Amino acid sequence: MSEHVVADAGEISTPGDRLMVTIGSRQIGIFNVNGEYYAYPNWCPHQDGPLCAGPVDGTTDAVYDRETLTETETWVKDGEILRCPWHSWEFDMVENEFLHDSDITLPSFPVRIEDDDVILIL
Amino acid sequence: MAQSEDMARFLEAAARPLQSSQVVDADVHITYNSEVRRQVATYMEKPYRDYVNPDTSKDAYPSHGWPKSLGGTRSFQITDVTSPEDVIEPLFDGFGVDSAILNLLSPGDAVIKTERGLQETRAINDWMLDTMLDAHDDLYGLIILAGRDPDHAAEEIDRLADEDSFVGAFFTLGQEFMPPAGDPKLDVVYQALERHDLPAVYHITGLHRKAPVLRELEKVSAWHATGPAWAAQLALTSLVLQGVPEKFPDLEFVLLEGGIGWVPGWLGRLNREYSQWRSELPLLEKSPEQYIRESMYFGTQPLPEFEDPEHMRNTIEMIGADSLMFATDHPHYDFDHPRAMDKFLQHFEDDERERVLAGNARDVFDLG
Repeated sequence: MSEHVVADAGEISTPGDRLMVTIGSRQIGIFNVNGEYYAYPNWCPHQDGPLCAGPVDGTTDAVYDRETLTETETWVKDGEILRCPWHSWEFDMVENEFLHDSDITLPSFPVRIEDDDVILIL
Repeated sequence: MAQSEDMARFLEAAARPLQSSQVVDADVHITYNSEVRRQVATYMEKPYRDYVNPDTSKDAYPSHGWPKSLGGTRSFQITDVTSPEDVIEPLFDGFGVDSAILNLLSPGDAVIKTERGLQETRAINDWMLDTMLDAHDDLYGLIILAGRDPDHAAEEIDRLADEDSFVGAFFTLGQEFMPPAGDPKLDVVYQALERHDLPAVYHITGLHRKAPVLRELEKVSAWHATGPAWAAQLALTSLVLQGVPEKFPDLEFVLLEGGIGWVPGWLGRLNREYSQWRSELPLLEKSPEQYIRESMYFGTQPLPEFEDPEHMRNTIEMIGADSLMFATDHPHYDFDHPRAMDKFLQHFEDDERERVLAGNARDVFDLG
Protein backbone atom coordinates (compact mmCIF):
# COMPACT_ATOMS: atom_id res chain seq x y z
CA MET A 1 0.00 0.00 0.00
CA SER A 2 1.37 3.39 -0.91
CA GLU A 3 0.19 6.90 -0.15
CA HIS A 4 0.38 9.63 -2.74
CA VAL A 5 -0.12 13.35 -2.27
CA VAL A 6 -1.96 14.19 -5.44
CA ALA A 7 -3.31 17.74 -5.00
CA ASP A 8 -4.07 20.61 -2.68
CA ALA A 9 -7.31 20.11 -0.81
CA GLY A 10 -8.63 23.37 -2.26
CA GLU A 11 -8.66 21.86 -5.72
CA ILE A 12 -11.42 19.43 -4.78
CA SER A 13 -13.12 21.12 -1.84
CA THR A 14 -16.47 21.81 -3.50
CA PRO A 15 -19.03 19.03 -4.05
CA GLY A 16 -18.95 18.18 -7.73
CA ASP A 17 -15.22 18.83 -8.06
CA ARG A 18 -13.07 16.15 -9.57
CA LEU A 19 -9.41 15.47 -10.16
CA MET A 20 -7.81 13.15 -12.66
CA VAL A 21 -4.45 11.92 -11.51
CA THR A 22 -1.89 9.58 -13.04
CA ILE A 23 0.17 7.35 -10.80
CA GLY A 24 2.54 5.11 -12.65
CA SER A 25 0.49 3.68 -15.48
CA ARG A 26 -2.79 4.18 -13.64
CA GLN A 27 -5.26 6.97 -14.28
CA ILE A 28 -7.53 7.57 -11.33
CA GLY A 29 -10.47 9.92 -10.93
CA ILE A 30 -11.08 11.50 -7.52
CA PHE A 31 -14.54 12.93 -6.88
CA ASN A 32 -16.05 15.10 -4.19
CA VAL A 33 -19.55 13.72 -3.82
CA ASN A 34 -21.52 15.82 -1.38
CA GLY A 35 -18.43 16.30 0.78
CA GLU A 36 -17.24 12.68 0.67
CA TYR A 37 -14.27 11.65 -1.45
CA TYR A 38 -14.24 8.70 -3.84
CA ALA A 39 -11.49 7.47 -6.13
CA TYR A 40 -12.00 5.04 -9.01
CA PRO A 41 -9.94 3.93 -12.00
CA ASN A 42 -10.58 5.87 -15.19
CA TRP A 43 -11.89 2.75 -16.82
CA CYS A 44 -15.29 1.39 -17.71
CA PRO A 45 -15.63 -2.40 -17.61
CA HIS A 46 -18.01 -2.27 -20.59
CA GLN A 47 -15.60 -1.46 -23.42
CA ASP A 48 -12.65 0.13 -21.59
CA GLY A 49 -13.99 3.68 -21.96
CA PRO A 50 -12.64 6.62 -19.92
CA LEU A 51 -15.34 6.44 -17.25
CA CYS A 52 -14.03 9.22 -15.04
CA ALA A 53 -14.11 11.73 -17.88
CA GLY A 54 -17.91 11.42 -18.08
CA PRO A 55 -20.51 13.77 -16.69
CA VAL A 56 -21.56 13.60 -13.04
CA ASP A 57 -25.32 13.58 -12.84
CA GLY A 58 -28.30 12.11 -11.04
CA THR A 59 -30.69 9.52 -12.41
CA THR A 60 -34.33 8.47 -12.44
CA ASP A 61 -35.96 6.06 -10.09
CA ALA A 62 -39.51 4.79 -10.32
CA VAL A 63 -42.13 3.18 -8.17
CA TYR A 64 -45.23 1.41 -9.40
CA ASP A 65 -48.42 1.56 -7.38
CA ARG A 66 -50.28 -1.68 -7.94
CA GLU A 67 -53.49 -0.25 -6.50
CA THR A 68 -53.75 2.76 -8.77
CA LEU A 69 -51.71 1.23 -11.62
CA THR A 70 -49.56 4.33 -11.86
CA GLU A 71 -45.83 4.69 -12.25
CA THR A 72 -44.14 7.66 -10.56
CA GLU A 73 -40.67 8.69 -11.64
CA THR A 74 -38.38 10.71 -9.40
CA TRP A 75 -34.93 12.29 -9.84
CA VAL A 76 -32.51 10.76 -7.35
CA LYS A 77 -28.83 10.53 -6.42
CA ASP A 78 -28.09 13.97 -7.83
CA GLY A 79 -24.30 14.42 -8.02
CA GLU A 80 -23.67 10.75 -7.22
CA ILE A 81 -23.88 9.20 -10.67
CA LEU A 82 -20.92 9.11 -13.02
CA ARG A 83 -21.97 8.44 -16.59
CA CYS A 84 -19.44 6.88 -18.93
CA PRO A 85 -18.86 9.22 -21.87
CA TRP A 86 -18.72 6.31 -24.31
CA HIS A 87 -21.97 4.35 -23.85
CA SER A 88 -23.66 6.06 -20.91
CA TRP A 89 -23.32 3.26 -18.39
CA GLU A 90 -24.37 4.80 -15.07
CA PHE A 91 -22.00 4.29 -12.15
CA ASP A 92 -23.13 4.98 -8.61
CA MET A 93 -20.03 6.41 -6.93
CA VAL A 94 -21.45 6.16 -3.41
CA GLU A 95 -22.55 2.52 -3.70
CA ASN A 96 -19.75 1.43 -6.05
CA GLU A 97 -22.02 -0.30 -8.53
CA PHE A 98 -23.32 0.14 -12.04
CA LEU A 99 -27.02 0.84 -11.92
CA HIS A 100 -28.09 -1.62 -14.62
CA ASP A 101 -26.24 -4.47 -12.90
CA SER A 102 -25.19 -4.12 -9.29
CA ASP A 103 -22.86 -7.10 -9.62
CA ILE A 104 -20.53 -4.95 -11.67
CA THR A 105 -18.30 -2.93 -9.36
CA LEU A 106 -14.92 -1.18 -9.61
CA PRO A 107 -11.75 -1.25 -7.56
CA SER A 108 -11.99 1.75 -5.23
CA PHE A 109 -9.22 3.61 -3.50
CA PRO A 110 -9.31 5.40 -0.14
CA VAL A 111 -8.80 9.16 -0.19
CA ARG A 112 -8.05 11.34 2.81
CA ILE A 113 -7.44 15.04 3.33
CA GLU A 114 -4.53 15.84 5.65
CA ASP A 115 -2.86 19.21 6.22
CA ASP A 116 -4.42 20.64 3.10
CA ASP A 117 -3.20 17.72 0.98
CA VAL A 118 -5.31 15.24 -0.93
CA ILE A 119 -3.81 11.83 -0.21
CA LEU A 120 -4.68 8.85 -2.39
CA ILE A 121 -3.92 5.39 -1.03
CA LEU A 122 -3.16 2.67 -3.55
CA MET B 1 -17.87 -41.32 -38.28
CA ALA B 2 -19.85 -38.24 -37.34
CA GLN B 3 -22.11 -38.96 -40.27
CA SER B 4 -22.91 -42.50 -39.21
CA GLU B 5 -23.62 -41.30 -35.69
CA ASP B 6 -26.01 -38.75 -37.13
CA MET B 7 -27.67 -41.46 -39.21
CA ALA B 8 -28.01 -43.68 -36.16
CA ARG B 9 -29.63 -40.83 -34.28
CA PHE B 10 -31.91 -40.16 -37.20
CA LEU B 11 -33.04 -43.77 -37.42
CA GLU B 12 -33.60 -43.87 -33.69
CA ALA B 13 -35.66 -40.70 -33.95
CA ALA B 14 -37.70 -42.05 -36.81
CA ALA B 15 -38.40 -45.21 -34.89
CA ARG B 16 -39.27 -43.39 -31.70
CA PRO B 17 -42.97 -42.87 -31.56
CA LEU B 18 -43.93 -39.31 -30.84
CA GLN B 19 -46.43 -40.69 -28.38
CA SER B 20 -43.55 -41.19 -25.97
CA SER B 21 -44.21 -37.56 -25.15
CA GLN B 22 -47.47 -35.77 -24.75
CA VAL B 23 -48.00 -32.97 -27.25
CA VAL B 24 -49.82 -29.74 -26.49
CA ASP B 25 -50.50 -27.48 -29.44
CA ALA B 26 -50.43 -23.86 -28.25
CA ASP B 27 -51.76 -22.28 -31.43
CA VAL B 28 -54.81 -23.58 -33.28
CA HIS B 29 -56.95 -21.11 -35.20
CA ILE B 30 -60.67 -21.16 -35.52
CA THR B 31 -61.50 -20.00 -39.02
CA TYR B 32 -63.65 -16.91 -38.92
CA ASN B 33 -65.55 -17.72 -42.09
CA SER B 34 -69.17 -17.05 -43.04
CA GLU B 35 -70.38 -20.16 -41.30
CA VAL B 36 -68.84 -19.13 -37.97
CA ARG B 37 -69.84 -15.49 -38.33
CA ARG B 38 -73.43 -16.52 -38.90
CA GLN B 39 -73.36 -18.43 -35.60
CA VAL B 40 -71.50 -15.69 -33.73
CA ALA B 41 -74.06 -13.13 -34.90
CA THR B 42 -76.76 -15.00 -33.02
CA TYR B 43 -74.99 -14.06 -29.77
CA MET B 44 -75.23 -10.35 -30.64
CA GLU B 45 -77.89 -7.68 -30.56
CA LYS B 46 -78.91 -5.32 -33.30
CA PRO B 47 -77.47 -3.26 -34.88
CA TYR B 48 -74.08 -4.96 -34.68
CA ARG B 49 -75.48 -8.43 -35.21
CA ASP B 50 -76.26 -7.35 -38.76
CA TYR B 51 -72.66 -6.24 -39.32
CA VAL B 52 -71.34 -9.67 -38.42
CA ASN B 53 -73.93 -11.85 -40.10
CA PRO B 54 -72.68 -12.47 -43.67
CA ASP B 55 -76.29 -12.69 -44.89
CA THR B 56 -76.92 -9.06 -43.99
CA SER B 57 -73.47 -7.53 -44.39
CA LYS B 58 -71.38 -7.99 -47.50
CA ASP B 59 -68.33 -5.94 -46.54
CA ALA B 60 -68.12 -6.59 -42.85
CA TYR B 61 -64.36 -6.31 -42.38
CA PRO B 62 -61.64 -3.97 -43.62
CA SER B 63 -59.67 -5.58 -46.42
CA HIS B 64 -56.31 -6.95 -45.36
CA GLY B 65 -54.96 -5.22 -48.44
CA TRP B 66 -52.53 -7.95 -49.26
CA PRO B 67 -52.66 -10.09 -52.43
CA LYS B 68 -52.02 -13.23 -50.52
CA SER B 69 -53.60 -15.70 -52.89
CA LEU B 70 -50.74 -16.02 -55.34
CA GLY B 71 -52.19 -16.17 -58.81
CA GLY B 72 -55.46 -17.10 -57.19
CA THR B 73 -54.14 -20.58 -56.55
CA ARG B 74 -52.85 -20.50 -53.00
CA SER B 75 -54.60 -19.73 -49.76
CA PHE B 76 -53.25 -19.16 -46.30
CA GLN B 77 -55.74 -21.79 -45.14
CA ILE B 78 -55.00 -25.50 -45.57
CA THR B 79 -58.51 -26.18 -44.38
CA ASP B 80 -61.11 -24.58 -42.14
CA VAL B 81 -61.57 -25.09 -38.41
CA THR B 82 -65.18 -24.40 -37.54
CA SER B 83 -66.10 -27.38 -35.37
CA PRO B 84 -64.43 -29.60 -32.75
CA GLU B 85 -64.05 -32.37 -35.34
CA ASP B 86 -61.90 -30.03 -37.44
CA VAL B 87 -59.36 -30.13 -34.63
CA ILE B 88 -59.80 -33.66 -33.36
CA GLU B 89 -59.40 -35.45 -36.69
CA PRO B 90 -56.33 -33.76 -38.15
CA LEU B 91 -54.52 -32.87 -34.94
CA PHE B 92 -55.46 -35.47 -32.33
CA ASP B 93 -55.94 -38.42 -34.66
CA GLY B 94 -53.51 -37.35 -37.39
CA PHE B 95 -50.64 -35.42 -35.81
CA GLY B 96 -50.62 -37.09 -32.40
CA VAL B 97 -51.53 -33.90 -30.57
CA ASP B 98 -53.05 -34.56 -27.14
CA SER B 99 -54.41 -31.12 -26.23
CA ALA B 100 -55.06 -28.05 -28.32
CA ILE B 101 -55.38 -24.43 -27.30
CA LEU B 102 -57.75 -22.63 -29.63
CA ASN B 103 -57.86 -19.00 -30.56
CA LEU B 104 -59.46 -16.79 -33.16
CA LEU B 105 -57.60 -13.84 -34.64
CA SER B 106 -59.65 -11.07 -33.13
CA PRO B 107 -61.61 -8.72 -35.35
CA GLY B 108 -62.10 -6.60 -32.23
CA ASP B 109 -59.10 -4.38 -32.89
CA ALA B 110 -59.54 -4.39 -36.67
CA VAL B 111 -63.08 -3.13 -37.22
CA ILE B 112 -63.73 0.60 -37.24
CA LYS B 113 -66.49 0.83 -34.65
CA THR B 114 -65.32 0.23 -31.12
CA GLU B 115 -68.67 -0.91 -29.72
CA ARG B 116 -69.10 -3.41 -32.50
CA GLY B 117 -65.58 -4.73 -31.91
CA LEU B 118 -66.28 -5.22 -28.21
CA GLN B 119 -69.62 -6.92 -28.75
CA GLU B 120 -68.16 -9.12 -31.44
CA THR B 121 -65.24 -10.37 -29.33
CA ARG B 122 -67.65 -11.13 -26.49
CA ALA B 123 -69.93 -13.04 -28.84
CA ILE B 124 -66.96 -14.97 -30.26
CA ASN B 125 -65.96 -16.02 -26.75
CA ASP B 126 -69.46 -17.24 -25.96
CA TRP B 127 -69.69 -19.10 -29.26
CA MET B 128 -66.25 -20.64 -28.75
CA LEU B 129 -67.19 -21.88 -25.31
CA ASP B 130 -70.51 -23.36 -26.40
CA THR B 131 -69.44 -24.80 -29.73
CA MET B 132 -65.78 -25.72 -29.43
CA LEU B 133 -64.62 -25.97 -25.84
CA ASP B 134 -67.56 -27.74 -24.22
CA ALA B 135 -67.31 -30.49 -26.83
CA HIS B 136 -64.06 -32.15 -25.74
CA ASP B 137 -61.97 -32.25 -22.58
CA ASP B 138 -58.72 -31.68 -24.46
CA LEU B 139 -59.90 -28.57 -26.28
CA TYR B 140 -58.98 -25.40 -24.47
CA GLY B 141 -59.47 -21.82 -25.51
CA LEU B 142 -58.14 -18.32 -25.04
CA ILE B 143 -60.38 -15.42 -24.16
CA ILE B 144 -60.35 -13.20 -27.25
CA LEU B 145 -59.79 -9.56 -26.34
CA ALA B 146 -59.90 -6.18 -27.98
CA GLY B 147 -56.98 -4.21 -26.59
CA ARG B 148 -58.52 -0.92 -27.72
CA ASP B 149 -60.78 -0.83 -24.65
CA PRO B 150 -58.76 -2.14 -21.69
CA ASP B 151 -61.58 -1.76 -19.17
CA HIS B 152 -63.85 -3.87 -21.32
CA ALA B 153 -61.07 -6.41 -21.81
CA ALA B 154 -60.61 -6.67 -18.05
CA GLU B 155 -64.39 -7.14 -17.60
CA GLU B 156 -64.33 -9.87 -20.23
CA ILE B 157 -61.58 -11.68 -18.32
CA ASP B 158 -63.55 -11.37 -15.09
CA ARG B 159 -66.65 -12.66 -16.85
CA LEU B 160 -65.03 -15.80 -18.27
CA ALA B 161 -62.08 -16.62 -16.02
CA ASP B 162 -64.04 -19.19 -14.02
CA GLU B 163 -64.68 -21.29 -17.11
CA ASP B 164 -62.13 -24.09 -16.80
CA SER B 165 -61.67 -24.44 -20.53
CA PHE B 166 -60.52 -20.83 -20.94
CA VAL B 167 -56.85 -20.97 -20.03
CA GLY B 168 -55.52 -17.54 -20.99
CA ALA B 169 -56.30 -14.30 -22.78
CA PHE B 170 -55.52 -13.51 -26.38
CA PHE B 171 -54.36 -10.31 -28.02
CA THR B 172 -54.05 -10.00 -31.77
CA LEU B 173 -50.95 -7.93 -32.51
CA GLY B 174 -50.56 -5.60 -35.42
CA GLN B 175 -54.20 -4.77 -35.89
CA GLU B 176 -55.07 -1.16 -36.27
CA PHE B 177 -56.50 -0.46 -32.82
CA MET B 178 -54.37 -2.79 -30.70
CA PRO B 179 -52.08 -0.66 -28.53
CA PRO B 180 -48.46 -1.69 -27.97
CA ALA B 181 -48.40 -4.74 -25.71
CA GLY B 182 -46.68 -2.87 -22.90
CA ASP B 183 -48.85 0.25 -23.09
CA PRO B 184 -49.60 1.27 -19.48
CA LYS B 185 -53.27 1.61 -20.35
CA LEU B 186 -53.34 -2.20 -20.64
CA ASP B 187 -52.24 -2.52 -17.02
CA VAL B 188 -55.85 -2.97 -15.96
CA VAL B 189 -55.98 -6.04 -18.22
CA TYR B 190 -52.75 -7.44 -16.79
CA GLN B 191 -54.08 -6.83 -13.30
CA ALA B 192 -57.18 -8.87 -14.14
CA LEU B 193 -55.07 -11.67 -15.62
CA GLU B 194 -52.84 -11.79 -12.58
CA ARG B 195 -55.91 -11.84 -10.35
CA HIS B 196 -57.20 -14.93 -12.17
CA ASP B 197 -53.78 -16.53 -12.64
CA LEU B 198 -54.14 -16.58 -16.42
CA PRO B 199 -51.32 -15.95 -18.93
CA ALA B 200 -51.32 -13.19 -21.54
CA VAL B 201 -50.99 -14.59 -25.05
CA TYR B 202 -50.09 -12.53 -28.11
CA HIS B 203 -50.46 -13.62 -31.69
CA ILE B 204 -48.93 -11.80 -34.60
CA THR B 205 -50.67 -10.60 -37.72
CA GLY B 206 -48.97 -9.12 -40.74
CA LEU B 207 -48.56 -5.65 -39.22
CA HIS B 208 -48.94 -3.97 -42.60
CA ARG B 209 -51.78 -1.73 -41.42
CA LYS B 210 -49.49 -0.23 -38.80
CA ALA B 211 -46.31 -0.44 -40.86
CA PRO B 212 -47.20 0.47 -44.45
CA VAL B 213 -43.57 0.05 -45.49
CA LEU B 214 -44.27 -3.69 -45.52
CA ARG B 215 -46.51 -3.21 -48.56
CA GLU B 216 -43.59 -1.85 -50.51
CA LEU B 217 -41.80 -5.19 -50.31
CA GLU B 218 -44.05 -6.47 -53.13
CA LYS B 219 -43.44 -10.15 -52.41
CA VAL B 220 -45.75 -12.06 -50.09
CA SER B 221 -42.71 -13.99 -48.90
CA ALA B 222 -40.85 -10.79 -48.02
CA TRP B 223 -43.77 -9.46 -46.04
CA HIS B 224 -44.38 -12.81 -44.37
CA ALA B 225 -40.72 -13.11 -43.33
CA THR B 226 -40.60 -9.67 -41.78
CA GLY B 227 -44.03 -8.49 -40.65
CA PRO B 228 -44.88 -11.26 -38.17
CA ALA B 229 -41.38 -11.40 -36.65
CA TRP B 230 -41.42 -7.65 -36.38
CA ALA B 231 -44.82 -7.68 -34.67
CA ALA B 232 -43.49 -10.17 -32.13
CA GLN B 233 -40.35 -8.12 -31.56
CA LEU B 234 -42.44 -5.02 -30.98
CA ALA B 235 -44.60 -6.81 -28.43
CA LEU B 236 -41.67 -8.37 -26.59
CA THR B 237 -39.76 -5.09 -26.55
CA SER B 238 -42.75 -3.08 -25.42
CA LEU B 239 -43.62 -5.54 -22.64
CA VAL B 240 -40.12 -5.69 -21.23
CA LEU B 241 -39.06 -2.07 -21.55
CA GLN B 242 -42.36 -0.77 -20.19
CA GLY B 243 -41.70 -2.97 -17.21
CA VAL B 244 -44.84 -5.12 -17.42
CA PRO B 245 -43.10 -8.17 -15.88
CA GLU B 246 -41.85 -5.94 -13.07
CA LYS B 247 -45.31 -4.49 -12.48
CA PHE B 248 -46.98 -7.91 -12.58
CA PRO B 249 -44.36 -10.39 -11.40
CA ASP B 250 -46.73 -13.35 -11.27
CA LEU B 251 -47.90 -12.95 -14.86
CA GLU B 252 -46.68 -15.17 -17.69
CA PHE B 253 -46.55 -14.15 -21.35
CA VAL B 254 -46.70 -16.24 -24.51
CA LEU B 255 -45.80 -15.00 -28.00
CA LEU B 256 -47.23 -17.03 -30.86
CA GLU B 257 -46.19 -17.27 -34.50
CA GLY B 258 -43.38 -14.77 -34.28
CA GLY B 259 -40.85 -17.53 -34.89
CA ILE B 260 -37.87 -18.15 -32.65
CA GLY B 261 -34.71 -17.66 -34.72
CA TRP B 262 -34.46 -13.97 -33.82
CA VAL B 263 -35.01 -14.45 -30.11
CA PRO B 264 -31.38 -15.04 -29.00
CA GLY B 265 -30.26 -11.91 -30.81
CA TRP B 266 -33.03 -9.92 -29.22
CA LEU B 267 -32.05 -10.98 -25.71
CA GLY B 268 -28.60 -9.55 -26.27
CA ARG B 269 -29.88 -6.45 -27.99
CA LEU B 270 -32.36 -5.56 -25.25
CA ASN B 271 -29.70 -6.12 -22.60
CA ARG B 272 -27.48 -3.66 -24.39
CA GLU B 273 -30.22 -1.07 -24.79
CA TYR B 274 -31.01 -1.38 -21.11
CA SER B 275 -27.38 -0.85 -20.06
CA GLN B 276 -27.13 2.27 -22.20
CA TRP B 277 -30.56 3.79 -21.47
CA ARG B 278 -31.22 2.61 -17.94
CA SER B 279 -32.23 6.05 -16.72
CA GLU B 280 -35.11 5.90 -19.18
CA LEU B 281 -36.17 2.51 -17.78
CA PRO B 282 -36.07 3.06 -14.04
CA LEU B 283 -38.78 0.52 -13.29
CA LEU B 284 -36.56 -2.36 -14.40
CA GLU B 285 -34.71 -4.10 -11.60
CA LYS B 286 -33.26 -6.85 -13.76
CA SER B 287 -31.88 -7.24 -17.26
CA PRO B 288 -34.36 -7.72 -20.11
CA GLU B 289 -32.93 -11.19 -20.59
CA GLN B 290 -33.74 -12.12 -17.00
CA TYR B 291 -37.34 -10.96 -17.32
CA ILE B 292 -37.75 -12.82 -20.58
CA ARG B 293 -36.27 -16.05 -19.25
CA GLU B 294 -38.38 -15.89 -16.12
CA SER B 295 -41.79 -15.04 -17.53
CA MET B 296 -41.94 -15.26 -21.33
CA TYR B 297 -42.58 -18.18 -23.66
CA PHE B 298 -42.22 -18.46 -27.40
CA GLY B 299 -44.40 -20.55 -29.68
CA THR B 300 -42.01 -22.53 -31.88
CA GLN B 301 -43.84 -22.02 -35.17
CA PRO B 302 -42.77 -21.19 -37.85
CA LEU B 303 -39.63 -23.23 -37.20
CA PRO B 304 -36.53 -21.71 -38.77
CA GLU B 305 -34.88 -23.90 -41.39
CA PHE B 306 -31.13 -23.49 -41.24
CA GLU B 307 -28.98 -25.40 -43.68
CA ASP B 308 -26.94 -26.78 -40.80
CA PRO B 309 -29.19 -28.57 -38.27
CA GLU B 310 -26.60 -27.82 -35.61
CA HIS B 311 -27.66 -24.19 -35.78
CA MET B 312 -31.17 -25.14 -34.77
CA ARG B 313 -29.76 -27.00 -31.81
CA ASN B 314 -27.81 -23.87 -30.87
CA THR B 315 -30.94 -21.76 -31.23
CA ILE B 316 -32.94 -24.01 -28.91
CA GLU B 317 -30.07 -24.03 -26.41
CA MET B 318 -29.77 -20.26 -26.45
CA ILE B 319 -33.47 -19.68 -25.88
CA GLY B 320 -33.72 -22.63 -23.54
CA ALA B 321 -36.16 -25.53 -23.46
CA ASP B 322 -37.85 -23.81 -20.51
CA SER B 323 -39.01 -20.95 -22.75
CA LEU B 324 -40.33 -22.78 -25.81
CA MET B 325 -43.82 -24.03 -26.49
CA PHE B 326 -44.71 -26.22 -29.43
CA ALA B 327 -47.40 -24.85 -31.75
CA THR B 328 -48.73 -26.08 -35.09
CA ASP B 329 -50.61 -22.98 -36.29
CA HIS B 330 -53.17 -25.35 -37.79
CA PRO B 331 -54.94 -24.81 -40.19
CA HIS B 332 -52.66 -22.25 -41.81
CA TYR B 333 -50.38 -23.03 -44.73
CA ASP B 334 -47.17 -22.43 -42.74
CA PHE B 335 -48.04 -24.92 -39.97
CA ASP B 336 -45.47 -27.17 -38.29
CA HIS B 337 -45.98 -30.89 -37.72
CA PRO B 338 -44.98 -32.07 -34.21
CA ARG B 339 -42.41 -34.34 -35.82
CA ALA B 340 -40.66 -31.32 -37.36
CA MET B 341 -40.15 -29.94 -33.88
CA ASP B 342 -39.33 -33.31 -32.37
CA LYS B 343 -36.59 -33.90 -34.93
CA PHE B 344 -34.69 -31.00 -33.42
CA LEU B 345 -35.24 -32.19 -29.86
CA GLN B 346 -33.44 -35.52 -30.23
CA HIS B 347 -30.20 -34.07 -28.90
CA PHE B 348 -31.87 -32.82 -25.76
CA GLU B 349 -32.67 -34.54 -22.49
CA ASP B 350 -36.04 -36.28 -22.29
CA ASP B 351 -37.38 -33.78 -19.81
CA GLU B 352 -36.33 -30.86 -22.02
CA ARG B 353 -38.04 -32.48 -24.98
CA GLU B 354 -41.17 -33.03 -22.94
CA ARG B 355 -41.21 -29.43 -21.76
CA VAL B 356 -41.07 -28.05 -25.30
CA LEU B 357 -43.67 -30.45 -26.66
CA ALA B 358 -46.10 -30.27 -23.76
CA GLY B 359 -44.85 -29.47 -20.28
CA ASN B 360 -44.35 -25.72 -20.57
CA ALA B 361 -47.81 -25.25 -22.06
CA ARG B 362 -49.32 -27.58 -19.49
CA ASP B 363 -47.80 -25.51 -16.68
CA VAL B 364 -48.39 -22.03 -18.07
CA PHE B 365 -51.98 -22.77 -19.10
CA ASP B 366 -52.53 -24.96 -16.05
CA LEU B 367 -54.16 -27.67 -18.14
CA GLY B 368 -56.09 -30.24 -16.18
